[in-house]
Amino acid sequence: MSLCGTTSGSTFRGSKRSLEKGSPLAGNEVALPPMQELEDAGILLPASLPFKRIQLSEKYPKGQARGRHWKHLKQMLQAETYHLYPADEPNYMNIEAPPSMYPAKKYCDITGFEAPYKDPKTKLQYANTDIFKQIRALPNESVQQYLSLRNAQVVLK
Amino acid sequence: MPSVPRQDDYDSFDPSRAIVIDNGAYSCRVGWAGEFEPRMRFRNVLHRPRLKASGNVINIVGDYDPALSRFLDFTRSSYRSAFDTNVVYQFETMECVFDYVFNRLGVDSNTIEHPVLLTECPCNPLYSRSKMAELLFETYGVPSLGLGIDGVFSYLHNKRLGRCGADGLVVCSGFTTTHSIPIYHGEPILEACCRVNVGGYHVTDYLRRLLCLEYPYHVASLSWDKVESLKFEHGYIAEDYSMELKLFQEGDKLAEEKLRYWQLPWVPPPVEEKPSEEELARKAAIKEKQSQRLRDMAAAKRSYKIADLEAEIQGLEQLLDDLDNVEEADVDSILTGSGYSSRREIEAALSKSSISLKKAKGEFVKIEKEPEKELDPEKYPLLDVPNEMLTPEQLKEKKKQLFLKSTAEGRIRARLKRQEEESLREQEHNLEEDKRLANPEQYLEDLRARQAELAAKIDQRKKQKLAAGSTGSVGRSERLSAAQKERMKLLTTAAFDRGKEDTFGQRDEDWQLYKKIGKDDDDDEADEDEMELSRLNARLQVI
Repeated sequence: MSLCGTTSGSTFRGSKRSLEKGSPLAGNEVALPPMQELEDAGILLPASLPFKRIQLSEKYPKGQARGRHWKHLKQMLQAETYHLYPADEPNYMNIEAPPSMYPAKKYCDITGFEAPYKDPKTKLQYANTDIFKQIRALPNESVQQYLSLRNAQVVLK
Repeated sequence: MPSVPRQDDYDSFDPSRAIVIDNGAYSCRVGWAGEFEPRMRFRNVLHRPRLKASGNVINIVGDYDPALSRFLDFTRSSYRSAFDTNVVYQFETMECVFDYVFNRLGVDSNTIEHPVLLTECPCNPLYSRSKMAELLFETYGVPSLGLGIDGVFSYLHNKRLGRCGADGLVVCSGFTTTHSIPIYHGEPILEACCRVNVGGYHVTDYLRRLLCLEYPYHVASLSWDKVESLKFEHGYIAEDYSMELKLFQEGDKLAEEKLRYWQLPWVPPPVEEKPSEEELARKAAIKEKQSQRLRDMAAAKRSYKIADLEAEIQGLEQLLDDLDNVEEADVDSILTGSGYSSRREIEAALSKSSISLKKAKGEFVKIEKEPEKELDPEKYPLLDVPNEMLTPEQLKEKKKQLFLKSTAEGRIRARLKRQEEESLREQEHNLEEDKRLANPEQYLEDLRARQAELAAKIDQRKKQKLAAGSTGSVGRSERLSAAQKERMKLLTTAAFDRGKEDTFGQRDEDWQLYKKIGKDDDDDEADEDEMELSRLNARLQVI
């Protein structure tokens, strides 16, 4: 991505200021203070914006605890009292699709191809005999890693 | 994503033109109603790095030029998003994003006169919606606010373009969720709307996990952003997934065309240049110089040592000469002055120094074994003097002499014993030899009989051991040999005696207990037997 400074064709280093000064360091990174360069890049916003009724700094004064608690989605949903509404009224909770009723399609854990076979030892699904050989050569650790890709790994509790 | 410089045509828009903000969990797009393209689009995130120069925290919304990161310290905080899944919850972050949006849009006036159209997820929780409205009305003072579902807006737009009819189904796949919204007579049917919590994030994450598993050495370079850019660059949607899979499985030409090869940015390892001839020569010269210096140092050290030793020897010889020449009475004073206690000691020191001198000079020294020193009473003069007649210092000296004498005596005794044993063995051997010569057949028979007996004994012992090992159910007492049992008994009695008054050690017999306990004659016996057997075997073979 690029920022305002770059899109206009000029690089940050060759900004007008240092060129005006005719400093021998023009074009050198040291010539510009970092703040100036950041401002030129256009990613810094002024501390107070005229169109705002309350400035950010007034709302969230510096020095006060930043960790203002915002309700997470879960807490929001708990506070929504959806159970009081009629059941056929759509809401965030009940538009979520239920788990699929269809059996999961089986894909090879190594190649991603369709897997007609499953190794009873490692429980890995595989597409053909070459991959079966490969599976049997795998250490248990990577077998578990492959299984964990489809949430089928052995979890010890 | 290209970021747009601050717009300068804000004032040219009529106050009735709405500002459209497509507030997505991944990217935010902002533009004017009625225009075809958004004026800007950026990652909907907020970075809060510290300035390296001043240490102040600054807010950076969206993407930034990586070249600028040399001024910024990102280690304290990662980027943050206002979204939890697809719902806005962090309104402080949201406010920073809106600041950026309106500032970039070129708002210079004191108020925002344009209506704002904002997108939200289907069935946005009321809490989030009300907070959003509160923020836009109270902080920004927007005149009016419209909220809508992005997918539905898109459908309506496409309907107007004639791409779809009045009825249809919107499948809208976002960053973290995918919705399907049926449209009936141009109206979304939210009752039939469905959400699956899978989105582009999960695709990227899955791709990253696959790549990390496949290339465990490149986990560090397979960052989330890199994998995401990979996905955008090379990913495509298969119209028929199973057909596409077959295509790749068969590996025909079409699949090869679709195959992508991608190389991680490669940083060349520092090339080790082969040292030139000159450099090699220089290095060799330096090495030679260093070793020469070491040799010189060693030589200097040796010459010093030789000089020292020579001086010492000279001094000692001088001392001996002096001792020879002076009267008997002056001997003591000379001796005390020199630090030696006797003439003998001086001579010993002299011989020692001369040997080391020879060694230092590199001459071959045959170290003669010291002649067997018989216990000479001269060496321990204080031993015969009664204690009462000695000063405390001399008493100490006497003790030392006593110790030295006893150790010397011990050594001699041990030597004698060794000799005795040797002669005994010799005798036995001779005896056997005599027997053999006298009656070879009888001797041989005896030998064989003894061998058989021993072998049987060892075998039996082995069997016993094995039997003891195999019968696991038998108690501990059965597994122990008689000697071990005895030992256990002694130990237990000792343990139970603890309660009584402890008088152990007062009588000498008490210590015999340890001998009894420590005796493990079973094993010893076995060892002896085995040794004897091997000896007999060897002997038989010789004969």
